[in-house]
Amino acid sequence: MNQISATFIKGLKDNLMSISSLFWVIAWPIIWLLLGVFVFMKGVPEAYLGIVKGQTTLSMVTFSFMIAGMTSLAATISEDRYKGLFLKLKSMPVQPWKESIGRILSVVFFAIISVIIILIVGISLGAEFSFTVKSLLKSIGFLILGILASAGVGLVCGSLIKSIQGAIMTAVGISVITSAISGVFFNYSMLSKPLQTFSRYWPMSSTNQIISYYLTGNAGFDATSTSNILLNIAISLAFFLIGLIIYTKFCWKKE
Amino acid sequence: MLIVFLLYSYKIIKYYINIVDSIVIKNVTKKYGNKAVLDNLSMNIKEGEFYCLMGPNGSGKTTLSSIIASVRTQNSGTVEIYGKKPFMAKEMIGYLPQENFSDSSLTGKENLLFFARMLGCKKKEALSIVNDLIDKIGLGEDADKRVSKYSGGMKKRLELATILFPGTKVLILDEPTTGLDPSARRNFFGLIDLIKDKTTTVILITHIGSDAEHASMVCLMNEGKIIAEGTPEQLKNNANLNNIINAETSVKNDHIKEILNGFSRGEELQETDKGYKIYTNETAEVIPKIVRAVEERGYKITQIGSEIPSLEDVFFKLTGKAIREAKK
Repeated sequence: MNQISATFIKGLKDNLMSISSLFWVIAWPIIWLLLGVFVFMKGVPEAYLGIVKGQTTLSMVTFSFMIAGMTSLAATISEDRYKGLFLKLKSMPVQPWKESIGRILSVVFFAIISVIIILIVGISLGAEFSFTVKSLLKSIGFLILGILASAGVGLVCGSLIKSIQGAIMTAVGISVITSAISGVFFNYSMLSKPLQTFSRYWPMSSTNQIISYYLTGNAGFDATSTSNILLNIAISLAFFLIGLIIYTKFCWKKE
Repeated sequence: MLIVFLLYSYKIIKYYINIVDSIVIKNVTKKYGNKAVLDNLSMNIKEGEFYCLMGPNGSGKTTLSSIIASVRTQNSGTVEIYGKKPFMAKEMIGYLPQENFSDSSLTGKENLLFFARMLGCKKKEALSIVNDLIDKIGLGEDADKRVSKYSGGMKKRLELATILFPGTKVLILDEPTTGLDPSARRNFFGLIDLIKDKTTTVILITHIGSDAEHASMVCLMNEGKIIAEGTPEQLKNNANLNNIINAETSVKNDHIKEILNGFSRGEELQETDKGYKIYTNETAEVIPKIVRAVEERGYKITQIGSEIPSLEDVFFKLTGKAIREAKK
């Protein structure tokens, strides 16, 4: 427990004290949210405005946890590798799985903080949600699943790319591009057929649609059908497990 | 009765052997691809010894130290720390890697608390140990500053504290003074003298002769093999070295080299960054002669002086290569 909490506290402090982390994970989605509300919603009828703002807020929530999971984790792992922290930890009686859990929990917690801030900003801008306690709990579950899937990508980038800048840029690239092409930034109906298929399989966009359905009653596709839910859970867990395996293999393996 | 007596005697002898040798390395070979970085290497390090592994880059000293620290594994051979395999003896090992691994966005105290808790200490216990360590390494006033504000010497002292937690019996210091100025280096070794006791074994990895002089035993390594082992004095005496004249010249070329080589006795002269090292015991008489000989040929000596031989000179005598060039 000591090792998990030590890594968790260190990881959380690292993220909360890093200006670039705070900017990309919290400020950047809020900037887009403000742009969305004040620039791109001019023609939306008054009756739908609250819900559209709600959906835009949820899109930025997804974008935020993607950046947190992918980029922050990739940055801290590649930096720790570069600094030789893993050499030091490998010489100590440290359990790799405890270190990994602490590291991932710190990102989950950081992402949840950013999600809460974005939701507060969204609500204060007039975002409306309609949900029951049950659907709220379900959406929190899928949110955590989405963060874990993003963390999987972050674990892979941080473990495989040696240069710190390279790991960060790759993770930012993956999160921005996939958000753009999978319907996180745009309406699902605006996507081409192949991109609609991608949107269903890419766990982060699928999570976005599921949460959107639970909290606003709208989604681009039948996001909460049993098959889609099972697919989302399976792919999200697969992303996370693959990331974890690669992380322990590349960062903790003895040469 | 006899069997019981023999068993006890065996246990006592075994315990005694374990106390005498904290680290036993037998026939260790480590290969990267086809290249053997450590070649069938064996050594014993006694408990309480300040043992130095000295050699150029690529000699295998860092690989050996990381095998002892359980960071790497050997291809063949055995390493035992107090009779245990390295990965079973992690509680006893304090490893200080070459790189600055502390987290610069955290304070010195937060860094130490992190390592204390990674070692399994509870929050209260960790805080008390860390406060003691901060006093020990003299970081008191700066403990609550972020590490990004620390000098190189302060960072090294902070990282040294991460290997001084209770229970550590073997300290492995991999090139700890790299990048430190002479005063910070002096402070660092002063600290080592202060913390070292009779039961703590210190292994220092370095390519700097003056750092190796602090050790009680020095092992010179080259190309994965031990080329000499002994106290610094023994190594220097055995090498039978003359005194050294350090001559810095306005230019460096074969002509000057030829002139100076005529004054070197016993060993070939050695090229340094700014000039040459000439080996002779008659330094007082030879220096004016060197200056005259060089100036007669139209060159200039910019600086000249004498020194007693160092462990780097011993390495040069044994391998024919300067320690900083040996890898080439």
